[in-house]
Amino acid sequence: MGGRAPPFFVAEEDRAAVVHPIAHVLPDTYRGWPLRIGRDALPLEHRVEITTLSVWCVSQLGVDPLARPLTPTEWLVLPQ
Amino acid sequence: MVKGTVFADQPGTLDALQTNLRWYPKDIWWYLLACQWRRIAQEEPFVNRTAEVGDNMGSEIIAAREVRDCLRMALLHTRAYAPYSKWLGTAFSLLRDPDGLGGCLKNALRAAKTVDREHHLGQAYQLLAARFNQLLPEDARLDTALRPFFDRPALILDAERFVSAALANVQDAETKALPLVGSIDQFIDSTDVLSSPGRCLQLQMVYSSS
Repeated sequence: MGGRAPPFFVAEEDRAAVVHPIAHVLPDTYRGWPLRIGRDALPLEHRVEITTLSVWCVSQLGVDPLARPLTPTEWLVLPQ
Repeated sequence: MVKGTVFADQPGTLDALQTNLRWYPKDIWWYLLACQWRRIAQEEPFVNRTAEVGDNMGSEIIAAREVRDCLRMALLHTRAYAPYSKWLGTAFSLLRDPDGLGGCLKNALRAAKTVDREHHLGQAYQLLAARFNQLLPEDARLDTALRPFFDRPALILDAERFVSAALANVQDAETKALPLVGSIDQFIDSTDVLSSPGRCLQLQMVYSSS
């Protein structure tokens, strides 16, 4: 399905205000590169991940190092 | 998490996160060095011991495992995260190699005879030991000479000595009390586990059970 879109981090209270413009204002292509990706049953969408940094941390690490310092055993179970 | 292009980070939150995660806290790092030496210690005589019973393929497999552990040790020394298997050799090739460690490891992998395999791996252990010694104060450095494995013909570094030397630098009591199983990358080799944050977190239980 092509490359991965970069995550776009926002504060939780700003999320709704950003989602709509990105979905509707972003052009279909930029310098010849597609900005909307789809395949088979998947619709053409920009697929920009709009999230908070904390939510993204939890999705990637299972914990949020922004909320509190990691414990020794949490450090040890973070895959390199 | 700690690399890649950041296009904008006005509040600096992402930069703070990346700085936090760029490398392990010092105590964890010494603990990981201890655990990596332990991995090497546990199999260093086996290259010879397997060959003693005529198992040349077993000796080659052990040698390849030890080479992998040496690559990871070299990355640990330089405070560089080890990527997964596809990029491990590439990451190692990007490190400075002033003492010829890479050549020793390649020779160990290519050696057809046990005696040569053991010789090249022994050289690699000694170079890693010398690199490790550079992390220690002068009066704490260890002898890097190879020695016999009890009364067997195998020549080893006795890497267990380096486990103790690394642990001596761990200050935090909680970290010092952990069993020497290491980080998840040191005791798990499953993509299905390592790519699942939830499964990884569940494995914290290995540090509390005996």
